[in-house]
Amino acid sequence: MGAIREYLISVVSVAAMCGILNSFMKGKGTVTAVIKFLSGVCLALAIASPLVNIKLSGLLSYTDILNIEAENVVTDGENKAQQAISAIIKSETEAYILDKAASLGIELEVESVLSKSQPQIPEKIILTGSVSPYAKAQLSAWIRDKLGISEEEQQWNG
Amino acid sequence: MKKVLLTIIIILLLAVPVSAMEFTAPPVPEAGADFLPDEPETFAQGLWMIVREAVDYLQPSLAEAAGVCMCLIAAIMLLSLAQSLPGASERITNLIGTLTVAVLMLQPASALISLGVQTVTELSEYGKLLLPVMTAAVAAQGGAVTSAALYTGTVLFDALLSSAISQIIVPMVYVFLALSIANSAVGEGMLGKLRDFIKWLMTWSLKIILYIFTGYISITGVVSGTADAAAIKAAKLTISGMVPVVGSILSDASETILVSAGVMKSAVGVYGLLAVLAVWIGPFVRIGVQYILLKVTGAVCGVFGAKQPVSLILDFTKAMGMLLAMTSAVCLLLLISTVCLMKGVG
Repeated sequence: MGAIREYLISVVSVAAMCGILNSFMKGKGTVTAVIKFLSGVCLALAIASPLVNIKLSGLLSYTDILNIEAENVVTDGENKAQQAISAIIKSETEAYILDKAASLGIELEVESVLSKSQPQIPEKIILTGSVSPYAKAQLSAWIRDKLGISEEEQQWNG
Repeated sequence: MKKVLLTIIIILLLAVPVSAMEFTAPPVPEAGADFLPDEPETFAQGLWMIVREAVDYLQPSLAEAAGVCMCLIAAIMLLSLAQSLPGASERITNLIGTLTVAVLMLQPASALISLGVQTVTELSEYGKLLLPVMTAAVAAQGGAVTSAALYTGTVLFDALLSSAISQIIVPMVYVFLALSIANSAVGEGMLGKLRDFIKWLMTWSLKIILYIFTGYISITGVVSGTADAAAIKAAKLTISGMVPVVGSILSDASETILVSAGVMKSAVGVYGLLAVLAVWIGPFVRIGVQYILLKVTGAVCGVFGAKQPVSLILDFTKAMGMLLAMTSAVCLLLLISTVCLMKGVG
């Protein structure tokens, strides 16, 4: 702002000087015309001097940076949503199996593993607990039919 | 009944494990904190809060602006008295009048220009914090293409506008004032055309940037909204082709996230809109009051004669008008982009 103040003061000073000079010029003689012309030139120079320093370079290359920035922000939002969806799918799947297990009189711990590909779906189930072979077969078949997870992808522990 | 149902829905949404997905609006900058002291529950409540604080702010702004205007009226009255004295040179009195108006107005005008620049910077900085949050929320809601396009466009135009204001328009305001002073001092309207051109250039710079931005936002909204809607439809088709139970779980999870992202996006958007208004309203009131009082002063001083100094007062009014336009342009740009992001997909 200091530079602007300086600029303003210089323009005002030049204008004031021109004004005073012109106020002494009476009539339409050659000297008056020359003084008027010189006043105009001085004022124009004083006024136009800061316009030379205007720089707009770099604004165009800024768009490339912006595109990368936008991509990052969007990916961040999508990742957050995906993480939340995955958490819901995981917990809902586990709750669904536990509900069925309870109806069969089985007590166990369930952990679902989601696929890496999109959309993330349950691809493997880890079941921990002591279960009778009959109940295990029943629950295993139910998981295969309802959730589409084959017996090979069902890991029984304990 | 509706409120109870809405509360139940929100509680149910919060009960779903979506802690990984949180979108919170950046706090109001210090400059706007006085106008939005508490977190409002609704947009209308927040708006009312801002308006109430702005009315309170009017009093000191009026007193400050009135002081300058009274000095100007007194100076012009004395000048018209001096002009009526026998043997007084009109050129000299006009020159003295011009210098008096310039001296009286330069300090407040400079302070208001600094305030305008500071407001533009603060609005721009707040936009840089708010826009990524809104963009991420829209992307979480399935509007990846829309949000990316809106983000890029808004940040680019915001940068363009801020650069244009700080590098071109503000120096131009000074040039405009300098030309006005010089024109008034020299008389004969030597620099009048150049001064009018500078004003035209400033007005059109702002207008053109806002026109292009509005056009870009409108086209982007339609084009990318269609792309996002198609992507969401394709995702729904994929889900419907899955094993029924898995498809149902996936569909429920996606729906929950879409709704909760929408709720969070709206909350962030409403707060963001209010924060932008809170930052803008104070300087707008201060500059606006000065603008109106200078207009009144110009009209009152016109009665006493002293054509050139009065014309200079009116030129200072125009400069205040430019300041109002530039701060409002940045505010409008942020409001439009936030509303567009709140509208989101489809």
